[in-house]
Amino acid sequence: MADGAIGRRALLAAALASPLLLAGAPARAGAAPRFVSMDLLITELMLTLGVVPLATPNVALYRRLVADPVLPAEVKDLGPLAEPNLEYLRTLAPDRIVVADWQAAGLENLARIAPLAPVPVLAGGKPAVAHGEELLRVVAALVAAPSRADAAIEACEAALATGRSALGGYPRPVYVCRFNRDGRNLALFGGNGMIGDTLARLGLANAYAGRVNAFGVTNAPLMRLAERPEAVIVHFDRGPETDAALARLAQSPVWQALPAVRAGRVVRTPVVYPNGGPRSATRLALALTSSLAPLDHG
Amino acid sequence: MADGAMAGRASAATGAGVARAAPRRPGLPLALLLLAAGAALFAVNLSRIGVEHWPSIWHEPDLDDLATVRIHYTLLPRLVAALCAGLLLGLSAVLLRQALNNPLAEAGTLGVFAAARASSAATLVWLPGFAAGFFLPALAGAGLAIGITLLLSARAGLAPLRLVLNGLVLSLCLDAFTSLVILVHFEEIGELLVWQAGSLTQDNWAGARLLALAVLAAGAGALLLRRPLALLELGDEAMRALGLSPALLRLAVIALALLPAALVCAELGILGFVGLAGAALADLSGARRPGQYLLAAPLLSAGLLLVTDQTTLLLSGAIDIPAGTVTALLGAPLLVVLLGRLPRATASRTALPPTAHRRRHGGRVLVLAAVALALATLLGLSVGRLPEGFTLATGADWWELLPWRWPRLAAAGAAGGMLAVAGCLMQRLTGNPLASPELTGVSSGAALIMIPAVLLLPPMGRNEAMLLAGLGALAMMALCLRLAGRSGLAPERLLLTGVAVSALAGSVLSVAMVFGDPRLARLLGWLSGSTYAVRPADALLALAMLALAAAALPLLHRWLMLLPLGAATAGAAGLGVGRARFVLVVLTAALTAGATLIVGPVSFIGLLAPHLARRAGLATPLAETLGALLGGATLMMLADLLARTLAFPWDAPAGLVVTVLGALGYGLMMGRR
Repeated sequence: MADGAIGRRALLAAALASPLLLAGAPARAGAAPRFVSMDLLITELMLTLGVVPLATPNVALYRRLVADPVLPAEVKDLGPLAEPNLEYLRTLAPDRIVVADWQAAGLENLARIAPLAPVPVLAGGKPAVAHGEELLRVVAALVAAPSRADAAIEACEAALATGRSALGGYPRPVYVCRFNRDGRNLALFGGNGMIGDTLARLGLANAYAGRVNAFGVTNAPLMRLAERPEAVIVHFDRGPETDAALARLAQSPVWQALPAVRAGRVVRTPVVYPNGGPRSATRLALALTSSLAPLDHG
Repeated sequence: MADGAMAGRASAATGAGVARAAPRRPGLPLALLLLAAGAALFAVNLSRIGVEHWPSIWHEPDLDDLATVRIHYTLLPRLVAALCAGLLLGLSAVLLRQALNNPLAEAGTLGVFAAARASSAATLVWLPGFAAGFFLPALAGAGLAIGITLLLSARAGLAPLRLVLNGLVLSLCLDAFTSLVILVHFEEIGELLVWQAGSLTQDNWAGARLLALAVLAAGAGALLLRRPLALLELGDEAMRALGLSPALLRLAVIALALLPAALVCAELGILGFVGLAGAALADLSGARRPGQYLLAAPLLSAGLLLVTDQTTLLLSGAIDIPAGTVTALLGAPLLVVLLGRLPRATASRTALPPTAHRRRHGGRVLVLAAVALALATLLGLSVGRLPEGFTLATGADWWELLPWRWPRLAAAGAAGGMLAVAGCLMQRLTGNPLASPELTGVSSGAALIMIPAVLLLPPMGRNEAMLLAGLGALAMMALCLRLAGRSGLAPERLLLTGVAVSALAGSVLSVAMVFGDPRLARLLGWLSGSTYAVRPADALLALAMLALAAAALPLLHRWLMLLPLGAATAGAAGLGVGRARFVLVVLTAALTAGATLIVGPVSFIGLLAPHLARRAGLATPLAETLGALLGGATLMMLADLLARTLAFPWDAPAGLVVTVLGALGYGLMMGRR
């Protein structure tokens, strides 16, 4: 603590001596610039580029929802996503704060700590995979690592192309879902969201064609899975939550009677962040390819 | 539903026309009509799976055939679950209505639903791997809430008003907590939103079987209590004279009412207003004796829930709306109707305690309060927390941190002061020591108008939002005073109006959240009362509002002195009662709205601060209000400091901290009275 205080005082003295130094960065000339990420997707993009953020809100949530790329232990936790801890952030003295554009309005205060860099995170109507690649380039330009963006995008496109040819004309539509622990309801992914779009890029037909929200997901009862009896059911593995759901489903006659379940066309796949970027899309493409290709084509 | 109510009224009217008052079985024709409509809808849903599968209902299901399985394990259990849940909720409402002598009573009124929701939210966030879903957490939460409400009311011999009031306070606290959890964990709370929307979707017989057993058990219990129930209407004195303990009887009835409701809530989610609607329809159909209610209300509730659920099932191809969402929306107009039919006030008018003779050291108390405020300010500006521990800023550090700390501290203090003044004004206005902006639905009015505004209007700044919330608060306050005014602003009436409006706001909010709109996260931020995003301009505005209100106090002094004496006395003393009331109402609404946007709707500052000021011996309206202002500001600033440092690096909304502190204070206050 004492060190921090002295550091701040020294910094203040320097700032008073020369107003030009207020931006902070020149005080550590030579060191790599220190970024803070305020959004899960932005954190994923930074880590994809090999840039470790100094701090980010809700570290636990990142580890649970995004997981890969791994968030190193030294990254500081700023607390809630909606209201990151300002006084703590201030003592960390970052050089740049990368925020999602929709957050910017509520976080004007942050600009007094370091310059804000808003990134347009929501895809709107755009196909999400292409949007994620574009975003990766935007963030790469921010953190000055454009070449690494190309590598990650190439890996993503390669995984999609390989998957598309391996699955070539896969005959069955695919449900992608996450089971609620009650075993009665589920989250269905579709539309133009990252998951729906990855399916499309792999040449797979999404068995769910209904409405989804801005994040490409909707809540639905289990019976929705009966609408396309010929489909494959891919569901995300969230560890104990999924175990609980499957235990309840095992006792459900409806689940047992679904043609996909009876024919063993149910695939448990590692959880992927549904609003993720190229890295998440790559992981999903690889997982779908490796689990669907061996299933019967008939 | 409106048609049903009309039919019920008509049958009651014709029944009254025939020589012997009410019909023999009031409500039953309507219930049978509803159940028949539900059965017809069920037949349509059954035929959608395939007409050829009709006969399979009567056979053992063929587990290989999806259509048969759907009929046997989704449609039929859903039918049974809807009927049983309706019966249980209707029975619960009718028992509570008898025990509490209050037509607005249902399980939700006593905090059961709010508690189930809060404990489910906590489980989801902090025990994500908990295997049993929401059933156990919801049941445990509801049980705990029942226990707390009963315990808090035990000293008052489970007096009906005390029970309703304690249930309301508990609901408000728990809902504030749930809102906070949803706000902070918006990304991971989806399952809670699905559960709380109240879906009757079934995929096996376990739930339906459990509910059916509960119907048998609760039915047997109701049969046993049928005769003693009639005695509850005679009043506590009469019961004692007969050698019965009113508290014990009430306890038995309340337990029998709440346990089934808790079970339904745990199994199916929140099905608000189903029981209330059944009881109300029974009432409108002419039911008067407990025996009539006990038969008609559960059947009516079951019919209503069945029709609602089968209709949502019919529409489910196009859009999946849980039945609980629909009942909550239908409940809104029903509440307004019921408010107009509340029983006329009883004679138990509790006036403001006469404190004039206890006036002592008014000046010294105010000075002490000012010193406390100054200390809280200094603490709030100096104390912080970093990973290493608490820090005390001094010297240059202090000045450097000042621009970060003063706006939120000033806003918190101003909001506390505003709520305290609003509370004093309301208590003087109504002559009711329990009146406060939080308990009378004024803040809920602000919340109610903000929900559609956030969803339908373009994004607003804080100032526009404050203006809009002010209009909502004003409208709701006018409505509450009008509804309660018919009975001379009696405490009971005012509080029951608050119960109804708060329940309404809560259900509309949970309906809005089913659709999972991310903009609602910001609304929740407002409604939980976060000082986080306060800018210097906002803080200055709040301070200016408070200063204006404080400056106006000396001008209002005579009004505040005379109004608590009642309209007749005040008018005789030469006061323009109508004009005085109008000015005070507008002022209170403005203060409440301003404070609500800064610290959220539930703080209890408006209730507690005036009480503290009176206990400290401040008796004249001016001294009481000033003392409350200082005390309220101090409390809120300390709450903000706690919010900023307690859960580092997590920054809890100050509104939530003060809700918890306020609820504790309320508990103490209730314990003493």
